Formats: sequence, structure tokens, C-alpha cells
Amino acid sequence: MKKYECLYIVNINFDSEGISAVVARVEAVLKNVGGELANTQHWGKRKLAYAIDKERYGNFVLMHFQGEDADISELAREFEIESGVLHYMTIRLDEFPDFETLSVPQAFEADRGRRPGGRDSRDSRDGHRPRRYEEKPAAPAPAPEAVVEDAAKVAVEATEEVAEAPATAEVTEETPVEVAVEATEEVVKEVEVAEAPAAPEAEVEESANETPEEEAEKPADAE
Amino acid sequence: MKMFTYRKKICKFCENKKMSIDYKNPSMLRRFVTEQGKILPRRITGTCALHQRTLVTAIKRARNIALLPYTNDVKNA
Repeated sequence: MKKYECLYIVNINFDSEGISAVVARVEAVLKNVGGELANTQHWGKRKLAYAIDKERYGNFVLMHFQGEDADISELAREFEIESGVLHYMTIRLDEFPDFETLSVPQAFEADRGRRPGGRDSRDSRDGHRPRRYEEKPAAPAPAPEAVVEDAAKVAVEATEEVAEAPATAEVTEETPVEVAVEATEEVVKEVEVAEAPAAPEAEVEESANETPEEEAEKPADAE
Repeated sequence: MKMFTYRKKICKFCENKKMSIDYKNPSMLRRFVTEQGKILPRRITGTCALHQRTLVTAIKRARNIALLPYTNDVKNA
């Protein structure tokens, strides 16, 4: 007897009577083929990650049982015929989990936390660029003086070792900049681009950014 | 310009034996998936090879049973 776990989704349009009836039918089929039901857990109504048969919600039922290989195909046949079942998935297990500690997973939309690589709205540039540091959340409109200060800082530090460029990029706390080891100009350009999305400071930045650019060109020329 | 292996990351599952990889746990699996629903590579999450394989199977199973989406429409700002 092999151990299986089956998770299936019942249509919510059936009232609770209908759902119990569906579950009862499924279990009856399992019994008929000689399987032993070990556990049933109802998860209740959950939002589906995608629409199945145009339904956005479903009643999840988790079932553990023991049986032979033929039982699976019988069960699958029953699921296909049964109009109440939207979707099902059967998995072979080595061991049953502890039934008492099985918990119903959180609802899908409840979990919207931050993710480790986490960019929320810029995921189209999913180029898998590893983060050198934690991305700080977009600063809520810092004072214009602060921006000028930062730009001036960048100007000063741009003349120094290129290896210190990442620190300055961090200071501006905009889009994390991919460190280009070669030219300081590239860093400054990226800083410019990074600061562009912050609309309120646009005008201040344009004037502030000319200074670092000029100053950056000096060492480049000198070299 | 290979500057990608700069930070040592520890596999969360190796570190914490209690975190089991289960396809029925979408809130945990969501951490290893982008906002668009794509699976994050190992070098971003720091997962070890063994657990990454288990994780990927779990994510694919969860997608199959509509606990995780295959893809999300992300509207870019």
C-alpha cells in the first residue's frame, strides 16, 4: 500500500450540502477500489491563483490515503466525471505528515510581503542583478538642499578612487547602480538616470548634476 | 566585470531545519518567486543546490494546483 496525498478543488457554487456530497462521492469511490482513507482536511474557500473554468474561488480539500497504483487512475476518473471538482492533484508520499499539525495555508492575497531580491514595480528588468546592498525604499521627497548636498558629495568623490563609487551611489539611494569599474563618467550618468524618476527634485537635480559632470570630466581629461 | 559573488549567503533551509519545503505553503514559497511569478535563481536567494531543486518542484506543484500563479500581470509605473 502506497501513501498518497490528493488535493482537489471543489466548485464553490455548490452550497455546503453539495460540497459534502461531492466529498462523500469521492471517498466512496476510493473505498470501492480498496483504498484506505487516512485523513481529510477541508481548507474552505480560497482565492485561486488563476481562474479555472472561469472560477476565481474554490473549496480546497486535502486527502491522504493509502492504496495501489490502479486506485489513482480510478480516482482520477471519478474527478474527471464529477462536475463539482474543478482541479485535482495527487502526489505520492513516502511518509504521511503529522495530521494534527497540518495547518491550512494563508489566503493567497493576504501575503504581500517584501521579497529578498525585492523590487516591486520594476520587475520587468528582471535581469537577475544581484543586490549589493539592501534596496532602500524610495525616499519620500527629501529636501532640495539634501539633493544638492548629495550631488556635491558625488562630485567630490567622483574625483577620488573609482572603487569608492558604490558608496556614493548608495548615498543617493535611488535605483541600485551596477558598478562600472571603468569610467567615473558612467557612474555619474547612472546617478543622473537614477535621480530622474524622482520628479519633485527634477529641476534641482538638473542644475546640480552639471557640476559633478564637469568635475568628473576633469580627471578624465587629466588622465 | 564579474562582481557578482560578493556576499556570502546561507541557504535558509540548511540553516533552519524546521523550514520544510511544502507545496501547500504558498506564503513561504512566495519568497522565492518574483512579483511576476518567476522562480528566483539560486544566486539571488542563496539557497543551496539540493534545496533549490526541492523548492522548484514544490513551486511547480503549487502552480499546478492554483496555489501560486504561473504569471502575474505587473503593471509598470
